[in-house]
Amino acid sequence: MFKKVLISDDLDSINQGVLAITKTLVIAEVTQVQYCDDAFLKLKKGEMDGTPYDLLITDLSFKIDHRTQKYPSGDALITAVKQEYPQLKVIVYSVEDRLQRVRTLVKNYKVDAFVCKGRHGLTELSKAIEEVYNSKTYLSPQIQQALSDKKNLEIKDYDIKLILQLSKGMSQDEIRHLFEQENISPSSLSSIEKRLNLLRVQFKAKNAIHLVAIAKDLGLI
Amino acid sequence: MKYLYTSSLIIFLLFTSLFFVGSSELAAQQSIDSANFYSQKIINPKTSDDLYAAFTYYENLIVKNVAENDTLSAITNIRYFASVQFDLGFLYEAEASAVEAFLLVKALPINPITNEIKKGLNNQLGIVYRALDNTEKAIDYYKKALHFSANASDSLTLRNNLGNVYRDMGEFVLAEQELELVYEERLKLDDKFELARALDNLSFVQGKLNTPTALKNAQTAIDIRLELEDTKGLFSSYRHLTYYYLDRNERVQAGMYAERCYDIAKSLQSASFLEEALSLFISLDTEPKVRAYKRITDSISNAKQLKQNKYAAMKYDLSEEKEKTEATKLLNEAQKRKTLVAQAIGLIVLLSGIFFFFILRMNHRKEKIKQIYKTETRISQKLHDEVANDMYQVMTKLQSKADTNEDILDDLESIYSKTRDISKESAAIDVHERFDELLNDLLLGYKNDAVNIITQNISKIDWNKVSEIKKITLYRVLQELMTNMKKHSSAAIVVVIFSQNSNQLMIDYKDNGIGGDLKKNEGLLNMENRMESINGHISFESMKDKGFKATITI
Repeated sequence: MFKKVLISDDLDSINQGVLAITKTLVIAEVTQVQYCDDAFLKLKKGEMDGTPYDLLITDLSFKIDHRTQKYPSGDALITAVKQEYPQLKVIVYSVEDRLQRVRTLVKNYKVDAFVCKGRHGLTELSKAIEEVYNSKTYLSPQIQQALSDKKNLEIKDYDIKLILQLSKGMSQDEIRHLFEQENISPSSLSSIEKRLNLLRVQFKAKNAIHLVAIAKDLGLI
Repeated sequence: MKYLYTSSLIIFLLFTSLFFVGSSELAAQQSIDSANFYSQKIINPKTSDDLYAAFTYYENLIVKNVAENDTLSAITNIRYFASVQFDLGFLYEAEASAVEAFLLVKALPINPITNEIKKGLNNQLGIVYRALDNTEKAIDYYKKALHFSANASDSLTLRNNLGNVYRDMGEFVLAEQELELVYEERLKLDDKFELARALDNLSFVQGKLNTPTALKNAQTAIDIRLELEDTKGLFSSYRHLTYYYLDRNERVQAGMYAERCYDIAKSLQSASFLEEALSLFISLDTEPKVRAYKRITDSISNAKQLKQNKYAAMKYDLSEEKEKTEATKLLNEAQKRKTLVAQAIGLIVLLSGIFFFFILRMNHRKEKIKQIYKTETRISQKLHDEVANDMYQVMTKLQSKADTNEDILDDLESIYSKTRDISKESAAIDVHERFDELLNDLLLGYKNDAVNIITQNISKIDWNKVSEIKKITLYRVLQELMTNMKKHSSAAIVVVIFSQNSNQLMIDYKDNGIGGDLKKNEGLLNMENRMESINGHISFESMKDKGFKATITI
């Protein structure tokens, strides 16, 4: 398990909760700070003393007060940290759940886990720590779509053509024949079958007939 | 008697008509020897062929000038040509030529040279009209010519011509006044040719008025003309003397001068000169039948002439009328153009005013939308950072206590998530990122085990062309549609189809939910307002158990 963990959050009570988690996970040294600038200094000091931190758990939004901060937000801290210490693991623990921000943090800033604060936040956090320790990434369930293939939603022209031919009463084999003639790819029987199965799932259709009916109802064909 | 003067006085005016051509500055341009040669032939024709040769010469020269676009030379040569025509007795043709030259010179800019030409042409026309017995017009043109005259000698020539017209009209006193002045002024100038002419004309009028010096003056003129070998001038002098003696019934003397005229006319081979000379003999005849014949032919030719004059005048007036009409037309058009320009300016001012007004209004509206957006996002941020966060803090506090009531925690969580939903509804939207991904995320947020969301062509839209305000509005409207769907529709499938043509973006939303009554929903009104604020449009369609349909156009 991680030996040295830094928690950066300006809400003391939450820090308490996180501390409780780290205790149950048997982490030797846990430090907490309330400003991002302090967090960066601690990380730097650890590195210089030869006892670097293994994990940073940080919030994204920090209240702005009288102290002028070099890193006013978690985003800024993460950017700097990942540049300076690429090997340091980072878990975001935030109320933020906008997919775009999650995606940006994970994809661009290489954050290892993103946990949403919520009823089950602490449980998820402890899960996240374990996953990250095993060199895996973790996302809270409500934001898991952030990394799923975004094309998931999109229906292609090919799909429409496929359903259209079905609606005309054509068999899969006849469709394959037609697609071959019209140079529409993929035209193999297995590809067509696979695609139709996917469409059936997507449209929550019980069978091909049901799929055609739904597509027609929705005005797709 | 009147016709007698007019028809018989043509010839001695010829000199005058030519005089200006030769004296104008344009003569300087006639540097070619042949040109001088021919102009001399007109001024003083020695043999019968001279005029015809000159006629052909100028006819060809004019064609050449016109072809070369040499307007000035063309005008000069047309004037020579008109003189030749006049000398040959083609009066109307001479008139037409002079008018043609006039039209050409009018097109040129006003300067001393063109003024000189105008003077010459007015004089030429005066001469022609006088020959045509149109004294009124003749006087008119002579006076016009005087207006353009820039030197004393020319002015005197014109006055001489004017005096002759007065004489034609029988206004001998007026004529003598005019001609005496010319003679006195001529004495001061060193031009014997012109002096002789002045003297000749003066003596003729004096003869009519029975002034004693008449005969002496006439003789002096003849002496000068003999010295100068001025054939045409001599013809004029002899003819005047014929009439002088005829008036006094001294037929022998008259006959002698008539013979001299006839000799000169024969040598010139000019029809008009010959006719003039021969008519003198008829005037001399005492036989009553011959005299009767002369009277009758004269009256017939007079009548013919009058008819022709009428016709010519009509022709000329017609062309003048046409010119006037055209001038009026031009003026009208200029006026029209002015009015049009004024109207156009007015219209432009009006249009730009309207345009400006709409720009201002649009800017104002944009500003308003921006302000609303700013306020919304600020409240959303506060809700999120302060209320939701605090709520979460309370929740964690409660969670850390062992004896916490789970029901209270559940309620708290529900409030917490509601707060966050409200915050999310009007949270800032980072439209600078890829908008298709942003929309995709938005829709993805509503996808779960119960509802599947399908999009079409979302990434095929050129989102860069869509303004920030429109993107934000569209995002909000779609968000509202999806929230509505989540709350009311019980739909299993939602399809959002994007399409775009050259100037419009269209989004079709359809679900297979329970549908329902459209009127009661405040969310729909909200969406309509949002779309209206960016000049977009949204329409809804729904029937119980037939799903819900919305069409957005921007």
